[in-house]
Amino acid sequence: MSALIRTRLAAGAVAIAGLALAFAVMAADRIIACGAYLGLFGTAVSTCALLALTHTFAKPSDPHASVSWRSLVPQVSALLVSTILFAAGMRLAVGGMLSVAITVWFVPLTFIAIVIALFRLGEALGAYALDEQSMHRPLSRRHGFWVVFAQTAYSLPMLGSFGLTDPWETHYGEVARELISRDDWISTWWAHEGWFHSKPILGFWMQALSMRFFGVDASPDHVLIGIGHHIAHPEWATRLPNFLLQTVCIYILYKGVARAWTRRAGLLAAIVLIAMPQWALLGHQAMPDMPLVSCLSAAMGLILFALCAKADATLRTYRITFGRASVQLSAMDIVTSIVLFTTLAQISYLFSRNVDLQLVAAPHGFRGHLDVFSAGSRGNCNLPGQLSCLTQRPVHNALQPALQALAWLTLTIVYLSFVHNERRVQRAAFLGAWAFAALSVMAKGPAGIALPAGTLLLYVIATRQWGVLTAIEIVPGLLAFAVMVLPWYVATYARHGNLFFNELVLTHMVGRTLNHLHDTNEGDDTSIRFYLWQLGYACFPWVGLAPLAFFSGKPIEETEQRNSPRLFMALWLLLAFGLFSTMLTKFHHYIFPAVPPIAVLIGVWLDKGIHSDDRLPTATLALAGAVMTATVGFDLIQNGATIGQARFLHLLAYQYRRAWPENIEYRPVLTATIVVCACFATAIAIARFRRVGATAFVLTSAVFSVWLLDVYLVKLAPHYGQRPVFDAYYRTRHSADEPIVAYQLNWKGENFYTGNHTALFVSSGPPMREYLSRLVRDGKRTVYFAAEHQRINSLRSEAATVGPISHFDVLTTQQESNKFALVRVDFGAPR
Amino acid sequence: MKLTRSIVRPLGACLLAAAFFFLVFVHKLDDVGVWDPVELDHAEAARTAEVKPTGWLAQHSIALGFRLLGTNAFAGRLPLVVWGLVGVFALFALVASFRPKRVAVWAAAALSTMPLYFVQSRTMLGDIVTTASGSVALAGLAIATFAAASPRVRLGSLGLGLLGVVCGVLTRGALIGAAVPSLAVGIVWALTHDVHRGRLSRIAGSLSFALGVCAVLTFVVARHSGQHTLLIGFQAAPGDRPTFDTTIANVVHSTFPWSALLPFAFAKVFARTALPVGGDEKKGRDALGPLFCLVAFIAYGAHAIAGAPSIAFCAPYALAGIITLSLSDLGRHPHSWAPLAAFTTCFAFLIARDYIKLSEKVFSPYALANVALPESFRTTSDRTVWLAAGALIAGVVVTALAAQLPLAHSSVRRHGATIVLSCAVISGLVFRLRYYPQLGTHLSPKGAFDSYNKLRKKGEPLGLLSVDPRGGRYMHAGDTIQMPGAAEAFTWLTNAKDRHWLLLRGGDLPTLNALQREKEGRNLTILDARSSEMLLATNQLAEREHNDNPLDQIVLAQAPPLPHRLDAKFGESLEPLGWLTLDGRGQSVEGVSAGRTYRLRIFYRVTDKLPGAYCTFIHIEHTPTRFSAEHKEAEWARYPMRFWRKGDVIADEFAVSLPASFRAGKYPLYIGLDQLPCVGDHRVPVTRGAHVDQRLEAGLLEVLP
Repeated sequence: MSALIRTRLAAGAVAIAGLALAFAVMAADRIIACGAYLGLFGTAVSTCALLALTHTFAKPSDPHASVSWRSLVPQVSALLVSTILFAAGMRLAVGGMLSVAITVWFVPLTFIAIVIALFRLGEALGAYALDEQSMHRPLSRRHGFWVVFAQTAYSLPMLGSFGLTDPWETHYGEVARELISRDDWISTWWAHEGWFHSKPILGFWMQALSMRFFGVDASPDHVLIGIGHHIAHPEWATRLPNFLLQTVCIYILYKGVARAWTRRAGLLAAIVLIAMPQWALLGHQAMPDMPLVSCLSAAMGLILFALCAKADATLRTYRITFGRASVQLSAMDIVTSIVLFTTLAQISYLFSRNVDLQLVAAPHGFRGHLDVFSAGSRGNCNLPGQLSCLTQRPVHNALQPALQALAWLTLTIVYLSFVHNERRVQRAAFLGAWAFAALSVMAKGPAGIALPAGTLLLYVIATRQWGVLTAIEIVPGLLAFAVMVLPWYVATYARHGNLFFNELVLTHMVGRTLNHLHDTNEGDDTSIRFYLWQLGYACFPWVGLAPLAFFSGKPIEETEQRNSPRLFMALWLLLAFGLFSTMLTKFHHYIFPAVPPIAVLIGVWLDKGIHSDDRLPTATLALAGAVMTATVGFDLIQNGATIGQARFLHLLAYQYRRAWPENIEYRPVLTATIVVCACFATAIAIARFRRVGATAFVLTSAVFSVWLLDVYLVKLAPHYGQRPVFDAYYRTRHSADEPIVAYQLNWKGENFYTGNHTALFVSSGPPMREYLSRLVRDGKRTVYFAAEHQRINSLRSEAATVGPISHFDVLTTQQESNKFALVRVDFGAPR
Repeated sequence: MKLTRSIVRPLGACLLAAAFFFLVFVHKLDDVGVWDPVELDHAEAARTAEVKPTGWLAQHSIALGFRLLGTNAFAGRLPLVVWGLVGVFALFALVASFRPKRVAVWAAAALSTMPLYFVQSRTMLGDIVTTASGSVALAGLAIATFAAASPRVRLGSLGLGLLGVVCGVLTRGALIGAAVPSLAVGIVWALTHDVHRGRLSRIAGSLSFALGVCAVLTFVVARHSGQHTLLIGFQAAPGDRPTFDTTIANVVHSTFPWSALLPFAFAKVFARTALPVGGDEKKGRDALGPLFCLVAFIAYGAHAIAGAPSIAFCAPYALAGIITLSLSDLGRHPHSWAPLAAFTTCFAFLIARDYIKLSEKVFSPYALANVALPESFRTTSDRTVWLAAGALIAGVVVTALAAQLPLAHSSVRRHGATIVLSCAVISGLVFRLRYYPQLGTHLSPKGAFDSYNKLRKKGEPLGLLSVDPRGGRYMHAGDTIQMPGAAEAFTWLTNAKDRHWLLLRGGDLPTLNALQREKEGRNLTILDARSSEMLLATNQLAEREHNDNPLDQIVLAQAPPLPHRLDAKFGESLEPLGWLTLDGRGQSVEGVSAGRTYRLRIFYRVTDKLPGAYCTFIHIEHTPTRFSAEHKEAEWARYPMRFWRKGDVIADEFAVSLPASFRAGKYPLYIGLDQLPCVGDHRVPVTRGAHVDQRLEAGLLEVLP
């Protein structure tokens, strides 16, 4: 038997073993401790083994560098240690063991340690030993490192230290929690309303996995139960995936910009983006918009990278030797791994839907069966307001998950056959763009593919680079797209049939484009100005540099170069603006995909334009920027029907007319920022002060963004979410026998923070009185209520109809949360 | 031959220009009556020499027209047309001083066909004086400062520029009227003073700068003191200050179709390279684009600070300049055509859609915010808007496609800009000749006055209810009788034995109609309802005349034959009689198809006066999402429930467009009433008929495959 065949057989065996491990974890009839880690490990092993099986690691070209595995041991060890420290920090933060003062340092520092360890590993491997000009650059002079550092320093310190915002975050968080609680990662369930089909799956999977990794107890009534007697902070776990994705994707975007312009342009663009209010704020929200936009940005970055790469340039490879054996790695392996990992995890899970590993039930062992799944919020089905738990069979029973898995496995192999020999830089970048576009679609829908595809198409037409169309790898790209995106769609369709298709595709994708669906902008002018309006705040105070970024300098389509990355960015901005302005359903945050190209254009101007000797246009546009800063800023300090200072919060809110807390006043800070930035923008107009003005503008804007994240949002969060109420409940109650009732609430926080273990009375009246009477009859005399402040009096009246009340205490104040209150009612005659 | 060329061509050009300007500015100047009340207020202020705090010069210009030509719409508007022409010529002169004349011609054509400009020129709204003054001031100051003309010409320009500044102050105060052009010229000069070193340049440039700064300071002081309204020039809108984007939206809407070219033009105007000529001309040439941009930016800032969205944007001439400068040499950059097509198509589509879907939002610059436009206008105007937008889109797309062909490069270079600019001019003319005349018809009582003049016999009096009697003066209406209130007007109209006429506002129709129904059980006779705002009623219908009352669709004496009859009652006042479904052509249909729009008409008989105000709603049950629709106060504004009388049959019409999730089958239809604000908790009880949660079971709606 030849060595090649032996290697392949071994690789195949390892791949199957890895898949089997992941499969066993998924098929088990109880949740296995460390199951998430085992599943991750199994899938990762299987991914690597498949790459080896397809001979991907044995590249024919000479390696750029070759190292023995022994020389990597210190770096790998450092990586493992820093990862363990980071995970431990996260675990303790989630469990409520670490105070905010410690968490804000410990978690970011350990994350930076991981980054440094990765860099050292890359350096040892040869990837970061020299830069593209064959120069040695230490970490401190690596622009990419500072991109990641800036992203971490901005986003990580306070990430999970404040409550989830109602209703988006709590809504999505609750759906993710139910994935774990119900142990069903296909059919998403929403509390008392049944199947949840308004968003695709990626965000929920990431949140749920993160909850599993970092120890959130997702079972009913346990979400806020931390380590020991501490109150948990599940927010760290729900928001971390967005941060990780954001970090990876902004790094990729940086790479694209650096390739198209300069590394410094890439760094500046990344810093501008990181400090843009909408990017910063949505990075602190567990909503699917950040996965959509970050993956979209990565896809665009890779397209940009590909467009600027020479068609025949090949990837560098790095060899690691293991005695006589060796593997040869390249960037293409990362692309293929992303596709394989995403697909194999889904394939394992699909197989596990037809086989149970009975660890609890007898007889122990594997048991094959047709797919069945449960409706209802497990553990809560008997509570008032909740739906009953039922067992269901798929609508399309012939489409059994194992069959689907086989089909996807086949397509994955076909995909591998296309790409396993790919060595060209441009092709690899385009394939990476396909993968990130697929992730983007998995996060929030077709905009994730429509925008990159549309932008690229327009770009090709505009620059007449028809050759690009043959380089974009349409067939393997579509295959990658299919095996990543479609498994969940098809599996859910097989189970729920047209109900799913109608709800997700027709109502929430097509319907939101053609109709007003749940939008809350009544009274606002939704004409073309709507997203100009929101972009003003989304990009404040960077809006002061926007005229310079958009209009200054010679458009590159007029230069000698055929490539025009600036045109590419402009087309991205145009399509994003056009698409979301065309949609009839308009939430403020929908325009988020238009923010990254604005940041890139500003970053590029800061790098290049600032040195322009074209003083008249620069001065004109700088003055226009000063005017824009002043006019946009003026809106932020107005107190009219809409509180100006709330406009940043509205970038992530559902309801734009909720009361602003009276004890919070941000106008002095905002006014100072407006005045300072307008002055610095004016200084840019004067050639002598241009650099100083621009530098000061950037610094001021960057500091402002820190304030926005770490002060503005943190102080407001208790007033726009229900954490203070449920924090107080779990601290106050003596046992689980003192239940909590969500009184006339439908803000979603009541579901997430209780693990949906609450009696829900969106409308109260007789059903609630009956429920309370039953509790009193059963001897449960103390009942807690979560209610809006203005409904406390009606709660008092309704509670009084149940029987005598000995105590009626409002336990939280308007200062803690100006919207929600915790009320404790003790039934029984006063003593 | 030479003689022919030197005489015929200029003469031909002049004739062509004259014809163009006649078509845009003068043709059918008084065909559309005076807009009531916005234009009428200005006209009356001018006629009566009422002292107004703003728009002094505009007011006196209109007054001069009245004095010379009599009190009529044509006379009042003609001076403003002259102002409009002055503004266009000033822009032409400015651009021609630095660029080839063909560019100046396009700039003039662009400005003339911007709706903001020609509407202001053809009405007595007054802001054309500000715009034209700004154009003159900019042209005068810029030529004096930057041009390579003779000192005499430059001195004359400086004088004209200063005159423009003064005129601007007299119309819209120091900030909008004066600071915008002078500050822009001053800043550009300050930034380039080392290359514009001539003495006259220094004088004109520094004077412009000083004027601009003084104008801003004057404005600040005047506004702070709250006095000197002439220097402030406007009154801020009551309520919340408009957000920063309001001005942008006003500009974008009021200069469409040209505004669709603006984003690309802004990007280009800074990028264009100077033609290889030397001396001051080159410097001035380089300064012209930034100068126009600076004017536009300062104007934007001034309007945003003013916080008065009803003031027309004062610098459309700068936008016209930016567009034409950008596009005129586009042929040298064939790669630019595709981006131009992409940007223009996207923005043209979005803005056209605003005109169609949100037409009440696009007329703010004419002080017509949230004006209600009837369905009849929307139907015809939608086609016009698509026609205009289509012309522009076709122009840019065809040019861009042609530019992609290798052989077409040279011809595209020669003619591409001409094609695009021509298409934009045609598109603007479509607005001028079709859209705005249609709009004017709805804003003016002229149609109703004309009908009265045509149909009346001698001695038949005309009463006016809530209609400004001053308007009749401009429409040859003769003597009119002003009615103090609806009741008196109704008595006057219906108690007369001979024929009486009444001109009323749309808002008064429900009151009068209810009185008419109470008296005679029929709807009021309306003979002219072309304008949704102004209606002509009469007490007697002559031969071959027919009642055109728009309420005939809502309140009837009896219901038509109904395929789905009901025997039920809500409370003590309302009996649902049945319902029918109408397709797009108005034909009654049995079943509906998902995805198409139908009208579901429910008929109620009023059995007693309703005790309160309600909303009506329908539910078409479907799992998991029902189709629901409701009519609240706003939807019942055409005939509010307080006017419903015993015996009336009311048609309640819902637009039903079922989503595709409704598969073929029969679905239960529920109808009901709820107390306002209609949150589902105070439904009117169903006192007769089967119901679920006080929702009447109204039968099954069939959805066809």
